[in-house]
Amino acid sequence: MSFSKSKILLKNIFLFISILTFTFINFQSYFHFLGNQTTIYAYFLLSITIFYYFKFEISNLKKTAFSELIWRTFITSVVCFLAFTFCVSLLKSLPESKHKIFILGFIKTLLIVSICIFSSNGFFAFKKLLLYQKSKFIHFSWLIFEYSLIIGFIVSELTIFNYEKIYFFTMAFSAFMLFYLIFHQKWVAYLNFKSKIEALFFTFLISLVSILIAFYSWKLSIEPYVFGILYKPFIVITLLFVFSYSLVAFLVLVFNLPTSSVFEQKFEEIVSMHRLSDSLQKGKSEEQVYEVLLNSSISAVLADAGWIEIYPNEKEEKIVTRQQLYFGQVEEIKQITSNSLKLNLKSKEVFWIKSLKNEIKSSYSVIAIRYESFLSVPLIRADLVWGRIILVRETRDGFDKELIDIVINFCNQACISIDNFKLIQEAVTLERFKEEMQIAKDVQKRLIKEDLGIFKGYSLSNYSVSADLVGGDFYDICKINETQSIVLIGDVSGKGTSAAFNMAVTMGALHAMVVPGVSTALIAERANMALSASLEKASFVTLSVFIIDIITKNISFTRAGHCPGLLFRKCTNQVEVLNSKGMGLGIIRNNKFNQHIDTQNFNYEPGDILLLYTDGVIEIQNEKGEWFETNKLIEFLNTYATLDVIKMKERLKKELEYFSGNKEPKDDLSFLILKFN
Amino acid sequence: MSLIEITVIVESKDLIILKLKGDIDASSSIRLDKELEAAVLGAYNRILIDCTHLDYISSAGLGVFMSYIHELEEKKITLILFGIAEKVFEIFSILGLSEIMNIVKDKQEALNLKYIGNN
Repeated sequence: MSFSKSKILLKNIFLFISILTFTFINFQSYFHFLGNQTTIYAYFLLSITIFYYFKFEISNLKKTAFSELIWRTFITSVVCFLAFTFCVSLLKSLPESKHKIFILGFIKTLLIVSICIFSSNGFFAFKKLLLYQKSKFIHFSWLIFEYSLIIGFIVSELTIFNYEKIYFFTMAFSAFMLFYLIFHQKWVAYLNFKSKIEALFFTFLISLVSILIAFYSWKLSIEPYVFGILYKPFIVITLLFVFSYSLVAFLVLVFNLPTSSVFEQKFEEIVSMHRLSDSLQKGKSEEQVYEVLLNSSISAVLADAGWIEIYPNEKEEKIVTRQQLYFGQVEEIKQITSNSLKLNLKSKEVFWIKSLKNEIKSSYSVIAIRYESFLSVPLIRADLVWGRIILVRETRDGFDKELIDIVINFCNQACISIDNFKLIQEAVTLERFKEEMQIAKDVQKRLIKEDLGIFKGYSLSNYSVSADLVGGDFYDICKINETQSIVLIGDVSGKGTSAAFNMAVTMGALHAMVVPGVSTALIAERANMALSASLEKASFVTLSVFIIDIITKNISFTRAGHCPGLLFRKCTNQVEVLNSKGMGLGIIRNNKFNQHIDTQNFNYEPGDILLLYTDGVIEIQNEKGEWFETNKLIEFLNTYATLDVIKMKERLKKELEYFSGNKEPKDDLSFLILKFN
Repeated sequence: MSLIEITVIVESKDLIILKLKGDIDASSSIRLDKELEAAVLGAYNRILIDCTHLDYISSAGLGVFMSYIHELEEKKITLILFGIAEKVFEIFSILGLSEIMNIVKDKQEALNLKYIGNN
């Protein structure tokens, strides 16, 4: 900010100085209050300030505003030229008067000013054009050119050094550089057709003006009353530069005119490509991407109409956007292409027909459509054709290889866009699912309580972990009355969400049956009945039910397909496997079920331990793929029976972790440890 | 990647043998289900399952067998498992499936079952 401000300030200072100098020179020519040498210095100051004024003036312009730059240069040139010719004509027909010397001086100064303005304005304007998209080398060459010009200028103007050879050499060298530099006209390619026509006109006039100014200056310089200041090599070189650069620009423009439509076309493609990738970055909706794709493709290949269809599934197809076509026309073209041309629009091929009319003349006598060329490019994602863009043109053979490649490029870009869009959508959905799952987990935590409460007659500890966020294992202990409690443990086949749902249903059914007087077999039977109705065909539930009576110290149990519990007898130091006949729930879904289960009884003594578990515990695998197995559980009971239940739980957890190494459990696993008082 | 390898051998017009090799877990049970379904639809009287090289069956795998029990009974098709390892048999037996399914020692025994098994 401050930089450009200081530039403007500098520019205005130069303007001020030049006006001041201009006034001074005029008075000087009349009054002669200072010597002749002063006038020369004043001219030097005047031309240099004008020069620098334009340097800053033009460097403030926008880099790519070529038309504006040329327009300004042109206007300045015309004004200078008018001033110049006015002065020249005045010089020739100046009437004799006592103020003649003053007027002559004024005209002469004006002449110099107009030439300076013309040449410096042209010089810096063309410098800007020349250095557009410069290479390092061009920039370097330009610097050499400019500096040699300045050196030559100082040497000639101030006559400080009378080294004519140096002066001649620098001028000759800069002239030589000039011929290398004037052929850098890259800016021409960036104009559109209209600007090119304008620029053509302006550059021609600028070169004309420069040659006229040069010509008259040369003629004037031999007139005795105008001393040779106009014929300065510095001015010659700048004028030569302005002339030759504008002339070359004119020629380049002439030869560029016929191909300018191609450039414009290419630009349009680039802009369209940008628009497509823009819509990708800005996360526009799918429909918007389709629209941008269609519009870009149509304008890029000069098609007259088109549409995009997508295939949500094998059978369906949906037209998502169309341009310059009625729905009926789309249908008509579709029918022609699929019926008479037998195009399979769902294949990965690019279809390209030179003339629809020729292809189908036999089968359709009257063709309502007026389109001849046909182009269809598939939209492919994950190796699957999910849509197609169809473009038509009224001219025959309207699409060539080049244009088709553009459309294919566009389609690829659009596919990425839409891919991204879908990925974001999927991510959002996934996030929502995660939240739902978290809720499910919370619900499950309420069903499978970590803290089961305190019961008379035994102490207990429990542990449960799911392979997924939610699982199918379940256990619970409920009081029936003051002396009896019921212990449930089970496992729903499968894991994850469906297992969790079935688990919740099972828990509900079981809880409903916790009433005084109930028997374990009845619970299993009723649960089987309830689940038969709701479980899917390949699902089943395993269950063990224990009713503990702490007065009689008797336990009755029914095993319905569940892993047999283990009972550690304190008096014998032996572990009993509580095996019995038992069918899983949901396997036999009729009243034959009760034939396959039975109820067993046993008495316990204080210090006895009951270990109940789900199959996840014994099927936990180590790195060799071996199972934990029941034997290890028996061993565990024998070893750690003296610990209290909490310590036993921690111990068993450690054992399982140690056994499985770093392997994640494949299945849900749960266990319950009861130690009787 | 499927952990299970299933080889289907059609012995005769009414006898098909499915040879299982590997583990049947939740994902590989889908393949077992497919093969079993095809066998049931193929109208064979007897379907023999060779479990000699079956290392493990998960509850999902058991569910597959279980889900056909009713249909097999209706269609009077005999499903026989043979060569089952003790560890795998344990899994069948805990669930109670061994009571309602025909599980025999080897193929010969399975073939003999033809006369007694079909009710």
